[in-house]
Amino acid sequence: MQHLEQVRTILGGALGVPTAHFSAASALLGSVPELDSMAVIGVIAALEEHFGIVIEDDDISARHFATLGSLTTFVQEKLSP
Amino acid sequence: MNAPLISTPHVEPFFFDSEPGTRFCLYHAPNPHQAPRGAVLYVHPFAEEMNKSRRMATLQSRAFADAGYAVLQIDLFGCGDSCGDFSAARWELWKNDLEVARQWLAARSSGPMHLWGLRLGGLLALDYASTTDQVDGIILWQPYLNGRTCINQFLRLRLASQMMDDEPGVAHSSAELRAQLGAHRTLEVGGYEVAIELVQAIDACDAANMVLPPCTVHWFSCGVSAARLRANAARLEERWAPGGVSVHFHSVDGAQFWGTTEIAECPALLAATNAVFGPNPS
Repeated sequence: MQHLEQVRTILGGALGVPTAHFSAASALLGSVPELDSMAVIGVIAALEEHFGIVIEDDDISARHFATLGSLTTFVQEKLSP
Repeated sequence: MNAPLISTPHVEPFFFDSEPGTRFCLYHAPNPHQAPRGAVLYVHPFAEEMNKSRRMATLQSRAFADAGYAVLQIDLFGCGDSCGDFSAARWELWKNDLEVARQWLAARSSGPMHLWGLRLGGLLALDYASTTDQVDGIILWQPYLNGRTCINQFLRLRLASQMMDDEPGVAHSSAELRAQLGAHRTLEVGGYEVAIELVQAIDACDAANMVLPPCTVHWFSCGVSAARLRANAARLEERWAPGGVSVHFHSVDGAQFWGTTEIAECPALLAATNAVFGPNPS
């Protein structure tokens, strides 16, 4: 999966916990206790900064933050709409 | 035998009078075994990021003091242990607090005066510096360069908590929250009630429009996005260089400690800062 590694690194930085063992199927929202609202905003800001994408308010949605894979897919869609 | 104790960090908590009320401060006295290096005034981040950053701020304050700097950490009006409600906080009050704190620090250190700002504190430090010729250096840690970006992220906390709690839309967008703020004059986000006056003042702040006095800016970024930030730093340097400002950009990898759920450290940021300001600067 393209960009999975970068998204995983960004996620780790925003959560402040190791994410090296996360796979595309790893559940995020509701499963990773460190993913609170501040961390979500941190992930979004870091994704915007790193990939040069604009994330809209509407994009702050549970379906994008379900798994590492869904978050990566979301980034891919933003990169090539 | 009275062998001198190995220097223990000397930290002095106190309140001082500012207008209005009092401010809580921590003074880290410079290591007496080092040559005096000047002073560092810490400018903390906005809202909850201030609390998340306490540990890193303390670690770096101690490192500065150990290297011979006199370090002052002030809780700005309405923040931390200082007086006032967050909703009464105003940008101009904060800049005035920094002026009072700088004067206090200048009375204790004759060396160069540095401002050290983290996140929105970086933008506040830049804005304050543009009003005085008493600042010789600015240290930025992952600064916001544009106030509107900071406010947008702050408002998004409400949207993110709604997502976490699976609440049906109380507010659907930052624009809607801004409209609520306009109507009610204050808005509560993540336990912090902000006033429209403060939000408008922060919104209006853009580092690119500031005119800094001649000084040296060390900008440290923490995270994976160094390339874009480096380009931003280069643009700002181009703008500020004619006024005698030099910008040095440093980037490290590490945790975004100002926003993590558990209190995190970013050792690489401490190391990079100490490489420039430590007792044996590289």
